[in-house]
Amino acid sequence: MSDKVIEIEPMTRLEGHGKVAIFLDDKGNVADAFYQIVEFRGYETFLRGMPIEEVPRTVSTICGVCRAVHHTASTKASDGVYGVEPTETAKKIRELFLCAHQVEDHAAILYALGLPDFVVGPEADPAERNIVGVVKKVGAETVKEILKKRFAAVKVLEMLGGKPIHPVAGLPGGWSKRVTEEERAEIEKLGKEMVELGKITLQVFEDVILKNEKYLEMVTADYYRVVVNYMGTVKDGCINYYDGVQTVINTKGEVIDEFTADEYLDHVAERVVPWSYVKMTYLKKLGWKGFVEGEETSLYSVGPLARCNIAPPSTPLAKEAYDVMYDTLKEKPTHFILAYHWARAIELLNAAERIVELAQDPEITSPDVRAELGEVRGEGVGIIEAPRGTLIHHYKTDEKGIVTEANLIVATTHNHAPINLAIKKAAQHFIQNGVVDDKLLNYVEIAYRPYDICQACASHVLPGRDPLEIVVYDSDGEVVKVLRNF
Amino acid sequence: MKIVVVGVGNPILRDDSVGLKVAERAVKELQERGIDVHLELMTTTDFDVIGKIAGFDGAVIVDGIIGGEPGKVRVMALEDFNPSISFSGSHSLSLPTSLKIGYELFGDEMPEKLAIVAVEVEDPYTFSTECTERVEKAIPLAVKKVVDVVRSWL
Repeated sequence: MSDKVIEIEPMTRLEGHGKVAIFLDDKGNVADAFYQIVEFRGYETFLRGMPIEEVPRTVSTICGVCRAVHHTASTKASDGVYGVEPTETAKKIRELFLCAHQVEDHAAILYALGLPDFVVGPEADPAERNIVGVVKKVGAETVKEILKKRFAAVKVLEMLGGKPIHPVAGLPGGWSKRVTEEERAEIEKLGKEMVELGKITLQVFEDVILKNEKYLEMVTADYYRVVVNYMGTVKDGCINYYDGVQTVINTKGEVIDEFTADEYLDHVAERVVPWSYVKMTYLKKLGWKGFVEGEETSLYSVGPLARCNIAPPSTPLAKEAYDVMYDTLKEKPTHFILAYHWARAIELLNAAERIVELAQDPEITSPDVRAELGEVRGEGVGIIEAPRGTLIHHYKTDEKGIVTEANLIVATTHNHAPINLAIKKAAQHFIQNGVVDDKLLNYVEIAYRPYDICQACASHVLPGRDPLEIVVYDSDGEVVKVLRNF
Repeated sequence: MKIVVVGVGNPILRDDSVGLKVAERAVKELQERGIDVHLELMTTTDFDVIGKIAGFDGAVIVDGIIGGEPGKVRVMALEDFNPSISFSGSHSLSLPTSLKIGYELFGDEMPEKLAIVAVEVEDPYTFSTECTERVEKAIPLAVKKVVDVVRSWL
């Protein structure tokens, strides 16, 4: 039985009350590790009794960061409730909107959280291991340029979303407003800036990580390798963020399952764990195999690396970068979790290129943005690919379209089990024979950062602000060591 | 002088909506007095906040804060915060952190005048569009503080 517990408690404005508990055995080595989310708000309950038309506008407030993705998934689910197929133009506007969100979010995550670990160094003081440290290393002018180009994505989101604070333009069957020619031209111009942002980001990645043997070694280290299955959305053989077939590959890269949104309950199962408000998902077809990695596992990951492992990006520049990544890592699918950051940079470029393609599509300015609604069918499922992974919104309504049941599965829920595995593997490497190095904090953070955890979405809570802390207890429950990054 | 008032919060999480409500009411009052100010509402305080205030001469940011007596209104400067830039797995940045990054990188484009009007909140977790009683009562004072700050800059 474990006699020591190490706890890591992160909490900021947009995260729920999370905690990492690491259990040590009698010899002081890691026996187990759990990532816990211990708060719950329950958007699903809140949505009950709400007219379905109101739901997309409401769920966009679940998380200040993820507002566009919840809005889009919910709008797709509302199509199902009315049994309506959106017009082609509406689908393209929704995809454009979602791609702008991918660029905005991927850029923020990479420059604020992912790249500092490498640009500044994994063992650097947390006070330096952030974007300020990136500025010092990469140069203020470069970072200014990067942020300005990211603002281009924010402009597109606001232009299409209909309301700056949170989007409201999605409606069952379509989108509430057409794209004017003036807006189209502006989006095309902004899209080209975003393509430049993608190119710069991949260049920074190459300069900082690929040219540094020590970092490349860390990216391909076994203690940052988690072998699971992968799930993502594929259309015409490529990654698609808005629509397609849910595709699952096994640890060897073989397609083992495919399904449409309406069928998700037959393919994805949720398991309640006693130590967290966030459930743990697994592949129903394989059955619950336990909390294990490897060929026999029924656990799976979602998000940028999962998507890349399943299918290539559809656009030329992103495809080139994609080939470089797999040539370098020498395994496909790759299970090196730090490659999530690399895949994130590739997707940033892919989404930017797709924005330009969609902005150049003559149909994007068509006034045909909404289809006639059918009879209330009473049930709808919307699945999209959010920056951090597959997002599912599922509603049931009465005959008047009033929500009676809602189920939301977000990326952090899909990734919950792999996150636990990642933390455990890192902790096993960095804690040995009872020696808990102060650097543990950094290395455990590095293990879960690739998944870009969103506890606000996972537990549907918007909590306060707290720092990151590790507390070590002895077998009597006494605190023997505290590690903090604040 | 170009001035922006930025409200931050979630409109359906009780006291977390206070920043939005105060900003909207303050801008309405200022405009009724013939003072030209721009309104921005945000649900997050990440890099986007830089883009919202860059290019203005003055910015007032209204947000809820936790930890003190609910309903207490504070007018603060950026220096009053200790911007934590040691991210702890979050995928967002705190307001002081984003502002600090903004001033370090875009110094010449950032507002010369900056004030943060903060309202101590009691319950930013429960679903509701209404604030708790003590926070609701503090809204007129917070609005006045925003108006006073803007007028003092003119």
